[in-house]
Amino acid sequence: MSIAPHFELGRVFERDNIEFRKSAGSVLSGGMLGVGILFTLLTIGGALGGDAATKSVALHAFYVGAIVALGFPLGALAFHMICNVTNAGWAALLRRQFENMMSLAWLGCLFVLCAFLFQALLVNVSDVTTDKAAGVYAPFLWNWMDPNYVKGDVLYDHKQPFLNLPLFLFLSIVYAAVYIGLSQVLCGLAKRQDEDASRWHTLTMGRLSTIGLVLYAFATMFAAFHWIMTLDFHWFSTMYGVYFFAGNLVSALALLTAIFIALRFFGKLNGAFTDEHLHDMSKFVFGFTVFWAYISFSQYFLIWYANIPEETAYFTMRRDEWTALSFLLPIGHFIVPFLVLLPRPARRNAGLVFVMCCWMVFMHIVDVFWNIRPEAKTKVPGYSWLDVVGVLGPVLIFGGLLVRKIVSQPLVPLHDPRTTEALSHKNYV
Amino acid sequence: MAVIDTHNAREIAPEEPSYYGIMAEFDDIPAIFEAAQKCRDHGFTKWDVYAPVPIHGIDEAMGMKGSKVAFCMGAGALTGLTIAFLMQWWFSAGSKLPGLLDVFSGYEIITHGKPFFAWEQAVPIMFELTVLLSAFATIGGMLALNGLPRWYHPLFKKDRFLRVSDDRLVIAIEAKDPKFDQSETKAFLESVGGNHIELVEE
Repeated sequence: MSIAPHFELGRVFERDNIEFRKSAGSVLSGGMLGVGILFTLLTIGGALGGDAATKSVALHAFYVGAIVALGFPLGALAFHMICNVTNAGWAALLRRQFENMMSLAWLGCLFVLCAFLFQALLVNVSDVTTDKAAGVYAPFLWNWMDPNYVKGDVLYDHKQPFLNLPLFLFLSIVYAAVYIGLSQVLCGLAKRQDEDASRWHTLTMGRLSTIGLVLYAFATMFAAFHWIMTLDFHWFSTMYGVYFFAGNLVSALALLTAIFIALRFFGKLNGAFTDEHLHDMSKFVFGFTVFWAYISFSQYFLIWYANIPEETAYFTMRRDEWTALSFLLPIGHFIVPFLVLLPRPARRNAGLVFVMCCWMVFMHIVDVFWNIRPEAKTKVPGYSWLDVVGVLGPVLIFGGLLVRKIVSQPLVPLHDPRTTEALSHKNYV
Repeated sequence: MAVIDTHNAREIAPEEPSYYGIMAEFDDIPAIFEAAQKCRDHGFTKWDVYAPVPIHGIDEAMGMKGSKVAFCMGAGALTGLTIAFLMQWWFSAGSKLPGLLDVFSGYEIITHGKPFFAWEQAVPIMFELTVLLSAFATIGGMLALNGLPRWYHPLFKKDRFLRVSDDRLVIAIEAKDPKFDQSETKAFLESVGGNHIELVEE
């Protein structure tokens, strides 16, 4: 019978197949880290040297990069926990890369903290105080933290019980604790399984993930509200948490799939990442691309239908001032990947899937940019060089640390009890 | 045996019985799996494997190509999408279709102070009709490609075959197959491990 693993167990776990040389990837990770840090310093320098509007642009651009760098680990964490809960055997050997990515959750949370501190720094060095009548704004990221901005704002007074600094800081610590705690505990269990080969760690992971997913869902919902949606605190959308989650998941899956294809290109993971696993990963990229489109259209559609001024302002401002991006998003983030990845042969074509995955990561950056960057209070809308360096700084730092993490340990879990199932995985449809 | 046509009171020449094909039983799943691979490699095209349980990978062992149902589904989806869009545009925008009388123009319906036609409001219906028609096309295409509904099958005449829904594994090669030859195919099925080989009458 041909129902046997595509690859013998022993050969998959040969050192050449699942480990890199000690020095491998150091140029890549070092380069990404170096350029990332340089870009971040340039952003800070550009912000300190510019006027209030420039400061605001730099701050928002940095925050775009921070949220993108946060989104990858969050998406990987969610997918890892879903795989644990459903006892997904096919992904058993791919798990290590999910873990590598989600173990950087601390970095994303640190970037959000940095953005908060960056805002405090810029507000302190800037001598501009907000005067809405004159159209002058202090460089705040979260405008509701600006006492001059919210003075006499009826909507703010109404939302004040939720939107105040002590609650914001307290809940931010809670969100970060959930993300970092879950990812570190799960990664710790995986590491211990590599050492002691106990299959019970897999069960523990599954049980922990059931509770973890609930905590994660609440944390993501409110982190999206607190950290991103309140950049324009007049606006509200109950869909926003899911929107944030959908974007994170599709970007994380796209980056992971690209990483797997790259690893296979370098001659690793033979037998552990076959065309069958590629097919499933690209199915998930495809599926969550559609999920993102469904969620973002629903959000837009309900606001369009209800036609409430403080809701529609969010979209009309983006449509009028960021027209190109507003049209690029539905086409590039949905229609193009939908049509390209729809046929089954396309989803099994590693080269094509790699290109589409890189494109989806780029489109996720565009998505986050479209959400955050228009909130910068500048008189003239438009792009600046700070948008490029500000966004790429945190993203490249994340990328550098991720590459370093990937090459530092075996590319697959060594003693997962579902290894045989993963090796013989096959798509019958 | 001669048949007497009593109505016309004349003798009819005995007819050569026509055969549906040949069926053979197999002992277990690995045996039928290997036999299926051999039938495939021998070049048979009109034949099938009958088993009480799904056998993973049997489609590949039989050399089956991918199903064409997806194309039926795609056609249904595109039809639904187009119909839904045109329908709503025609109904609600007061559009006059070229070549049609004015009687057939749609109504301009004012709802919520919205434009008479906007793509946003059309999307849910477009989605629904796409899903609905692709579901219909999928079911219909599946039935058509399988030749269903069909109330009779020659194999049902064989008592041994009826146990295929219980504990028997059967391969049946049809007489329509270009490579079919009564004695040769019988020998072939024997050589790949079949037992209780029987001719199946039409």
